[in-house]
Amino acid sequence: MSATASIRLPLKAENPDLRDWLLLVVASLGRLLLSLIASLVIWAMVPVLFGLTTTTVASGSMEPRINIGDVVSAMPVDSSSLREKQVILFEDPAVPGRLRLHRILSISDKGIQTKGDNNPSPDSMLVSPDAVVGVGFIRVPSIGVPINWGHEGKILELALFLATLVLAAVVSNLDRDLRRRDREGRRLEALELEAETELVPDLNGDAPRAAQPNLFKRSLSQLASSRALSRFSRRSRLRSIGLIVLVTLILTGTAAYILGGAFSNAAFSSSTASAASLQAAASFGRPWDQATFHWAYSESSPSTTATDDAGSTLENGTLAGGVTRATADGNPYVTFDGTSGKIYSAQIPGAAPTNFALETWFSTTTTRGGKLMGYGNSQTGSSSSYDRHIYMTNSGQLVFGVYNGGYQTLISPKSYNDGKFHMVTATLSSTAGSVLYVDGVAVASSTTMTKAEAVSNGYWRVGYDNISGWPSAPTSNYYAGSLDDTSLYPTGLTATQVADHFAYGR
Amino acid sequence: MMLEQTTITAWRATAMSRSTAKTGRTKATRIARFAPWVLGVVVLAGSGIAVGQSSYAAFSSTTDNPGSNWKAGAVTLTDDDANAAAFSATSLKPGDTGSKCIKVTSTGDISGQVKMYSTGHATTKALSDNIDITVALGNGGGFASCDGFVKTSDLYSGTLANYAATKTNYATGTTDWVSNKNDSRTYQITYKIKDTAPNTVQGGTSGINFVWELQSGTSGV
Repeated sequence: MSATASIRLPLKAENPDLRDWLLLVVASLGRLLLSLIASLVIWAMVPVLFGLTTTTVASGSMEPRINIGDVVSAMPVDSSSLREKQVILFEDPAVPGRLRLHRILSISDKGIQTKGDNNPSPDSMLVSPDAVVGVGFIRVPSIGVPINWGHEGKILELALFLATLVLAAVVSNLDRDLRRRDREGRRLEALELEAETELVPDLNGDAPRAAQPNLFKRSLSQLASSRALSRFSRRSRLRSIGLIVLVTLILTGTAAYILGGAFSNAAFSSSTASAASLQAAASFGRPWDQATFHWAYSESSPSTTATDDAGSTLENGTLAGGVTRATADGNPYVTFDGTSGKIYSAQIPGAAPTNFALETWFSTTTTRGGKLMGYGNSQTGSSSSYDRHIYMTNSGQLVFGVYNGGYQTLISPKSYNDGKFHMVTATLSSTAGSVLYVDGVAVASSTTMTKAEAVSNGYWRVGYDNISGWPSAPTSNYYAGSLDDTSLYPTGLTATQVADHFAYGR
Repeated sequence: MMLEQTTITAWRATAMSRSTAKTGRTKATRIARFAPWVLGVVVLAGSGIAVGQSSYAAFSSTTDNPGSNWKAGAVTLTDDDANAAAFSATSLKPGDTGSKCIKVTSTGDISGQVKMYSTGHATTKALSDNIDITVALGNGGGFASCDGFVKTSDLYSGTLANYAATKTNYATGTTDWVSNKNDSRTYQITYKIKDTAPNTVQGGTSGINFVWELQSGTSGV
């Protein structure tokens, strides 16, 4: 009776070698991928350990030599040793907080000019030598591509990459069996070597001289125990796969954490420009170009100055009392309250003018009249000696007067207290006489009104002064209303000039 | 007896299979034992050499043009002024005003932030202090005519002198629009000579270049 113990030798009957080789090759491919990625990560980390600034390139203006996803480390150098054509990592002057990786084009006192290899023109801003972090030293290709994916929120690509890593880990474990069998085989060989020297086989079937029969028992039991072990191998296989996957993920995570914070930009750029040239006219042709003084009242509150912007001798005015500033359509003016508001000049040395023109824009609805402008011997109060003035009557008519032994006046036929801006001009020429214009048009004239009072060292008064005794003198010496562009001219103006003044506007 | 028989048969079976794989070891299993370590060392060393090579190639090159497979600039910004000046006005008086639209277009496959600034400013008699400019961003219209221009935002309002002094480069320019590859916007620049420009400004000049620049990677990603 032959009791053949069915011993399942750890071998498949058909083509065992081919299966082994297939497993070995496939597992090696998995290992190749994993070790390649791990190696690149290691090389990318080495500069970090030495303290070199290491960044992931995030854009492609240094292609084809440096690509998106390359991990680049920069070596700090002395600014004096920077040279043209070097690739440098520097703090981006165009975008604070960012690092840029470009090539030095030229170095000058003003700074370093850089350019991306793939850009048509140099970077528009110069780089200060202090902003240079280092010169490009190590380039690890492409290992930063997953980091860029993470930074750009490309979750799908990142997930696929990690899945590939896990798959490779699993695949590289496929030849585990081979290694186990090799281990067992080595153990068996060691045991056999012991047994062979102890026993002489008898192929006739007679029982061999069992000098050490226990050895065989031992090897058999060892075979049996190893078979028992193989039942547990599935669990330990999963355990070893799990270990590889865990280590892979930890290494990837650590690398991503260390490298993932630093990016350098090889920024693309392009620019275009358009020129502009403007030239001011040789003469602005302003009516008051030739004026003795011109007050435009364009200062801002709370200034109490009326700046004279005509001529070379400045005769500024001072605002006092109830005078407020206002603006209409961006055009500033002043408004008087009719009870205390006034503007006065500094003392004007010398004789009051014998030929002159008074001009001002005004707007009012008052029915109590008032002085618009005039010459007087008191700076702020009620003058005792005064003329060369324009005042409004209670009815809103305008009067221009001079004192020449008696009152000489021109009065406008119409009233102008309609609340709209008008321009009043009064001219006196010692040869031609006087003319009163409103809105650029003569409304009254006299050829015999050629002389004003010979006085000196007086003041120009606007908005208030004495009028008493004069023809049609109004109830109020204080003018209640608005004024703008108040001017004094040193000669009489012609009708054309007055018309131009009115056309120029307020 | 049984046990002895079993033991002998087992031993015989092992002896007979000695020629093929007497212990279960094959060439494949032997290689499998040391393959992982050898592979790891080879890959580490090989990649180290490759990194050294790639570093050398990247950083020791002395020319920025490695050959005919060089990809030319991937984004281009243009304007529609056909090289004419945006403004060219003379004999300007206080209150005079002018306005021009310029369409700026980005072509290529790179997106980025477009900013406007100025270069090359020069002025005499303080004319630039007496010119107020406004810059508006919108769509429609162009250099030929502002008809159809619809404003979407105000970029600047102030004197020309202040613009020239504060908006001097990409970092300090106005932050206008983010180009998402191949799109355009229109800028409207308006100037006005201040009404209050004093007579000392007469005959003065102002010259300036308005620059639009796009840089990639600045769109918040």
